[in-house]
Amino acid sequence: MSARKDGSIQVEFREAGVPGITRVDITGVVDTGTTLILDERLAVVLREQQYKLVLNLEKVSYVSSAGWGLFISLLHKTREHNGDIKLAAMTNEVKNVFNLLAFSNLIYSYKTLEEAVAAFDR
Amino acid sequence: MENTPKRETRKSSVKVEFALWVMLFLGATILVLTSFTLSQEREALTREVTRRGLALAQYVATHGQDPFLTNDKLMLATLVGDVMKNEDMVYALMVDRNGRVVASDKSDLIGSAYVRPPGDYPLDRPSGRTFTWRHPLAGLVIDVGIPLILQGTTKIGEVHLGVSRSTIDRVVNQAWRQVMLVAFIFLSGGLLGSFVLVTFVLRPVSELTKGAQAIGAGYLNYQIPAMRNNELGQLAVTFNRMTRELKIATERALEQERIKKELQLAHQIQQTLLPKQTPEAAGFSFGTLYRAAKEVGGDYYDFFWLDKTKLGMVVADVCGKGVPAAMLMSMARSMLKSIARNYTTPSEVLKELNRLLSGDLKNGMFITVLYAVLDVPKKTLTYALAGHNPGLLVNPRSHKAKSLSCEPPCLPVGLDRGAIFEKLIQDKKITLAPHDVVVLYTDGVTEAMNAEREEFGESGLQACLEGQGVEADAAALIQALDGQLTKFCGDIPQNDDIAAIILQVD
Repeated sequence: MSARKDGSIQVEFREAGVPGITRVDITGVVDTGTTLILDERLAVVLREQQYKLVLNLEKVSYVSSAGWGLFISLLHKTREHNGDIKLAAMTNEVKNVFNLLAFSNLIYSYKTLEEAVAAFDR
Repeated sequence: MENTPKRETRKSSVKVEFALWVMLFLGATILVLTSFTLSQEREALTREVTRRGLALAQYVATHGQDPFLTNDKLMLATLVGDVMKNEDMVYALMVDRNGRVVASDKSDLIGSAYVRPPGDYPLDRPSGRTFTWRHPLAGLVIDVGIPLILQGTTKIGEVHLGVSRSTIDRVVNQAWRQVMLVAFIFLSGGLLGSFVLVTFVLRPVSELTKGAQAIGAGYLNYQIPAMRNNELGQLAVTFNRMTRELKIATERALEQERIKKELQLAHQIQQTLLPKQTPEAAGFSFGTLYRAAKEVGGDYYDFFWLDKTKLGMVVADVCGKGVPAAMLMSMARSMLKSIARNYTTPSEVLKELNRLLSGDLKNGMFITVLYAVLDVPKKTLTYALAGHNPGLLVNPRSHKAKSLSCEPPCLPVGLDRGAIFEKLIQDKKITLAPHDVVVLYTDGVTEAMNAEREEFGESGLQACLEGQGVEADAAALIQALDGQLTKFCGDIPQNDDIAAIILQVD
């Protein structure tokens, strides 16, 4: 049995160190309730025409199907503007669901933030 | 319910009440002040008239003494005539000590006996006296009497002058009339002033009344216009704030009501789509579990016969919640049912379903599906997984346990138009042994949480099924799973749908 954190979320944006790449630090749980909050926060970044996003999932203990839906939707929105999203530092719990959904076929994921940021240059 | 009689309320105006009170107060004040002033004035005038009367009587007494003694009638008549020239003089006469009239303004009285006014008496004091009596012709008259005294001791007669009070009354009455006129003007002014004042003071109240009526009628956008910053102004501000908060609260209540209705609708859709009973197949028993979360999700399960020996079984989870999820689930269910007979393997069925759905789904929506086909006589189970939790095979007798996964895993249905999905989707086939138990479920089962925020997990599911022993049939296993989930979660609300199919080999 695995433990999961309370249904709350914190979202912070910062420069990823490379111009034009925004790092999104998410803390908590991405479920039906918090997905709405995350969606609103991400909409702000998209309005600012930031289309290269690294989602730092190091401190995310759970992503529900609604959360994955949001990531897919974000993926389409950024790629429409020649951007992309890259998932970084997924916890085992999140990685298991990511694998179950076979999302590695759609979204790039990396073990570390640095790798995710560097991947945009290639 | 108790019947309360309608109370008749008479509409009374604050303006009228206020004006009446002002009138009453002003009127009473004017009346009291005027009465006091005029009575003072009347007394002063009376004193003045009396003093003048006494002076004239003294004049007559002094100048008339000699003619009186010598009985010089001409002189006396002249003297009386002089006195009578005074305004308000009603009569003037001189009487000798025998009570005979010696001189009078009315010549016919001369020589006759003097008739004293009622209540009068012979004069004794040298300073004289005055008293008021009612004259038959002239009304109230002040009689001024002075004795004629010779050499300081001997009284030889009396002088009587009658001074009318009519001037005093006229003056006082005129003053009354003037005061009344002024009072009338003042009262009218007061009335008008009180009306204006009360109207001015009450205007905010009528604005508040208007506001309250508007709110009562449901116009929650109504705001009372800004007022002066006094108590009523503050009341208006409070009132406006209350209205805004009421509006927000009402909208929130309506929104919640709408969401509640939507969830009820989603729940109804879901309930009608689930099969009413489990299938019957020789050598197998089936059980199903379905528990909708409060926020209805899009889980579902289904059974359908593909031919006489092959049974299709589906467990699926639509991403998202509420009506959109329920509708997508309804659409997917119908499609799957209608295409299932056209293909021989589960993977082909899911490929077709993916082709049909992927173009139509909103960005980010998808369905995880486990589709399995049971060949009843051959006791084989062929299945394909599209992003879904693998089924679990346990055997309480042999204690073998196996996760019915597919490697590599495949994407859920609806995300990819075909290229990736069709490359990844594959069929797996297992042959079932006696007492084998297969459970096909959605993530609501394994992700059910307890108070410590731990998940039930695949291990919990396996332990539950193995713990029931060989004798338990599918229905008993479902009952046990349901019971253990309830016990595990305790008071923690279920935040995802729970759906499971259990298939047991005899």
